[in-house]
Amino acid sequence: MKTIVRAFVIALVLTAAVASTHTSSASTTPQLAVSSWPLPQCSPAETCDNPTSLQ
Amino acid sequence: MNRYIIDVLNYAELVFCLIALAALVYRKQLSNYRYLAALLSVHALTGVILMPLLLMISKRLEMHVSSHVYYHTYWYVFSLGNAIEAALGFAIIYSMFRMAMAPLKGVQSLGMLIFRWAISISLAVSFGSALLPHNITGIKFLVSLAVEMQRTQSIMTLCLLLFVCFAIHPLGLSYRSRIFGVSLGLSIKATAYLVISAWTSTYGTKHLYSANNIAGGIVTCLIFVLWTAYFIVPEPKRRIITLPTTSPFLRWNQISQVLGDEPGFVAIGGVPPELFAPAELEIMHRASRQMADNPLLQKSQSA
Repeated sequence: MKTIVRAFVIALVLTAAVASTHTSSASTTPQLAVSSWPLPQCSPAETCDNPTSLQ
Repeated sequence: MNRYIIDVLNYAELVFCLIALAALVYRKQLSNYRYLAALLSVHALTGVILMPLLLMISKRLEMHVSSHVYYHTYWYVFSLGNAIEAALGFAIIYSMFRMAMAPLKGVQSLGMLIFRWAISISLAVSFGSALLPHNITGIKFLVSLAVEMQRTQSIMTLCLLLFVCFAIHPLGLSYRSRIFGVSLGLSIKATAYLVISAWTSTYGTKHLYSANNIAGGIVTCLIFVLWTAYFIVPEPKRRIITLPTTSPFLRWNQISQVLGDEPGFVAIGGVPPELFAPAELEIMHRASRQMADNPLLQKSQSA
């Protein structure tokens, strides 16, 4: 049990570490949070014709 | 298909969030986990505000108006909500650390001092990054601030989980403890946030109902279920902490307990005799007489 939990925690931390190196701060549509709420295609920092396109 | 799944996940997220909050209330844990309760309340409130707008888009009612209203509401409400959630995340990490370290008062006070500094620096870095020249207007600043705060809070959460996971036995906790459960839930959220951020920044969002929202929704629901389970199942009592005398935890606790204590004071002159108690004066008289009677003792004392 102890080993499984520790292995899971280490996997979690390593995944986060790898993911953080691939995150660009200059992203046009910044991810605000982990949620199912749909993220519009463009942020207020840019302009787009249809920010909430369904297709 | 994606739209249908996301609609279901939106409802599920809100329902599971409210169930987790109810579990917290049911177990009378609001005072211990007030920041977690606040985080769940803010999350639920954000969902309640966005739900009708998304429903309008989904049903294609007043499409043009509703999509623009959703766009603006999303960025204002969601970024404000997430900035608050990130700040509450810092407060949760801080309170979890305080609760985990409660038996070792010395290390707790030293650790909390370091933790306060780390949180202050994280917040300063977030504000600094959000205050870039092109972000100076209200909404752009708010979005940047929320993103930076989420990032720094995610990293700190993972540091907390590593600490709690590897120091769980010396702290008298178990993997069924709520402190571990809350930290684990927050860490899964932090990892998911960093992964989905990388995904979004690499591939972008092609349309409103993207697969990253499905992933985000499933992870969020799982976290709420995890927290509900930890609060519903009775928590095992904290074990008596027995540490070997050579334990670094014990040594650091002893050192930290002494740190910051007020120093003692010694009167070195100008003390009037009336300040002393009669018994103290008697001892001094006897010592003086003994020294006068025995010159050898006086010599050894002065040497």
